[in-house]
Amino acid sequence: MNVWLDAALVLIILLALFITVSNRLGTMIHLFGLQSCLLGCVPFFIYFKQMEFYIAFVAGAAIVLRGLAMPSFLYWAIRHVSSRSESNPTIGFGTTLLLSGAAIVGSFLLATRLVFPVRIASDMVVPCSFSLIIIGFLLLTGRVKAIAQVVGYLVLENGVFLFAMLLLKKMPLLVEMGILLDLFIAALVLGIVVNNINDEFDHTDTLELTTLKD
Amino acid sequence: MLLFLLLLPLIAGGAAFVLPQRGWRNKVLISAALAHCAGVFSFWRSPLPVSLNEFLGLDAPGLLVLSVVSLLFLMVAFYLLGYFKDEPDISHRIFIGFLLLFLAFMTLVSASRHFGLLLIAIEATTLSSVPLINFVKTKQSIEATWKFLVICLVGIALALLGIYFLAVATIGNVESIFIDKLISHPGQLSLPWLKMSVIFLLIGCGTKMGLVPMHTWLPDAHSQAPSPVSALLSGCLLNCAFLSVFRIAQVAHAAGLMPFFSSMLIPLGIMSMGLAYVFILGQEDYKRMFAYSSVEHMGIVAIGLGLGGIGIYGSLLHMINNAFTKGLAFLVTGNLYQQYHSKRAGDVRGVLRRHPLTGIFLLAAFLAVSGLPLFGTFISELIILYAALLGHHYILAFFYLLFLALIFMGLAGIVLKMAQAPAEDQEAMETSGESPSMILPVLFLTLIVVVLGIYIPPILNGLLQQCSGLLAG
Repeated sequence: MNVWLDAALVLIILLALFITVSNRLGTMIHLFGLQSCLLGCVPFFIYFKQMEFYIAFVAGAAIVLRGLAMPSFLYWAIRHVSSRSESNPTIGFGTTLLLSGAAIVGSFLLATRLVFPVRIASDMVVPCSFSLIIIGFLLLTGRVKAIAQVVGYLVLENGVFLFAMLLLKKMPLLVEMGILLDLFIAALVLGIVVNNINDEFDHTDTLELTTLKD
Repeated sequence: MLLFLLLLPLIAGGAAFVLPQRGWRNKVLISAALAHCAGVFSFWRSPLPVSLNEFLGLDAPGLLVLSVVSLLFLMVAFYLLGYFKDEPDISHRIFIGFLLLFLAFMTLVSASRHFGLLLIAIEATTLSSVPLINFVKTKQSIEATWKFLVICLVGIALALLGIYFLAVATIGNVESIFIDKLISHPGQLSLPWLKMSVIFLLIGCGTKMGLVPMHTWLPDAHSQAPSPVSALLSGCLLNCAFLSVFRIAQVAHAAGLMPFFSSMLIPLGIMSMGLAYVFILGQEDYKRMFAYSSVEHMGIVAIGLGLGGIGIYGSLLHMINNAFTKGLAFLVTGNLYQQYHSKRAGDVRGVLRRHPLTGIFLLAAFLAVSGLPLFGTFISELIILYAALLGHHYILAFFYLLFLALIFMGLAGIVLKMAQAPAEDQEAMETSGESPSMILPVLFLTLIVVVLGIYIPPILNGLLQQCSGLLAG
């Protein structure tokens, strides 16, 4: 199963890179949904031989919540938004891609320094999760559309989720708590605020949110 | 009893959502706040720690933070009776409901004995404060709410990663992240993972605490929220975040990582003080001014915790003083806003002459915030300075004093003009904002700050000693 796991991880990272270079909000949301579905399959690959009900449950919940519900919710949030592409990000598309590449290299270097105390299915899980977190952070800081920032935050969360998969067997309770903490409420509130931004400003450019500064 | 404290605001909050009449909702708010406060202070007599089960329990730092939260909440609840007059019924309902939920989640933060639960509780305080900050739905308040949400959620995500690292550090030894178990098995955790965990947890919780450079949500949220909410954010929410930093310090201390932890806390603290000075100087919005002062004081608290020894005592005392001082300051800004209908310091002139009571309290808030003698903040700032000198941190002590003095001058330049300069138009203004329910809580908070400046009750002293004992040795 290691081959499948590694393939899934490589695809997840590639999808994150695709998100960084896509300038249409719809595409970003699609790619994010696809990435989350793949992520939901990761627990099956990691715990292939020692499958248990709650692992399948966590994986299924990830696919349903992150892969299906969240993207449709985000689509619903942008239903009235007129301009659906990110035109002038604060960090350019090329720069983001370059920085993401550097982040992936950095994550692999860092992961060699941190030895996981027990044997894990693949050495790629930890660096992939670090890469996702950094790429998500880059998206969050480098984009001006509110929805693009939300996608960035969700990619970051996906990174945290991927790391949590390693702990699923050791500390199921903690991981489930993390999932409870999870996006759904957060995204609900984010969605409400995005709607408010829509109503007040007629668009979701956070660049226009600049009245408050010193 | 602890369970009662947790459930009471939750039930009252639910009731506030469904109760049809505003008078009833106000009664629910006041009685819940009173009962909560009485419940919390009943713990002062019982020996600590009290534990309900593995997940919930109250130890000395938890009780300290919870007492501050509960008392300040009570004051704000009384203040709100006079503050709200003619907002629509539906928003009153939402406001009171979420206010009580906010109290419930802050209680949960104080009582959590498990890092995962602690994080969930902190996230819940963020979410329940969103409708409070975004109460007046203007462009500015939506912007402030957006920043608050995004920055705090990222902070929480990073803290969650920190908790997963902590869990990895316990694999093969403790195998759990209950705070008590982590502390009672020192020296077994895997150090590289623990260090990573401490870094990420500090970034995450520091975001919520408003430490520079993760503070950017704080001035916006504090200046755009209604004043009573600003008082709660500054006096209660920041303290809850500090409690989580204190929990990390407990784990770091048990594992012998305190020097490593201090080497991050102290620079963050001194940076917060420096940056607060830069933005207080010539600040036009008086609520932003007090918000930056919160950044400064959280910096002082972080420095005290980082210094260790008697600094921890000073840090906890300063946390209490700062909470009541900021409660006082923001409630006074609420009065000012109702009297002048402007947040610009330039529009507020001659407060002492027009509204003598508010004027006196404004001056008291200013003196307390800048830590002058007679006020509690003076004592705690002095203790932290003493800790710095004891530890031979002379450069730190120099900058600490320098920033305190500069911030005092910056605040004086703004506040004294507001209080004393003659008003441009001499016509009489309406005297709203000086109703008893808006003056009495302010008076009470002033009294607390002054009393703490002169006399620390033995029972409080005992509790503070017990807290700082947790990080001693």
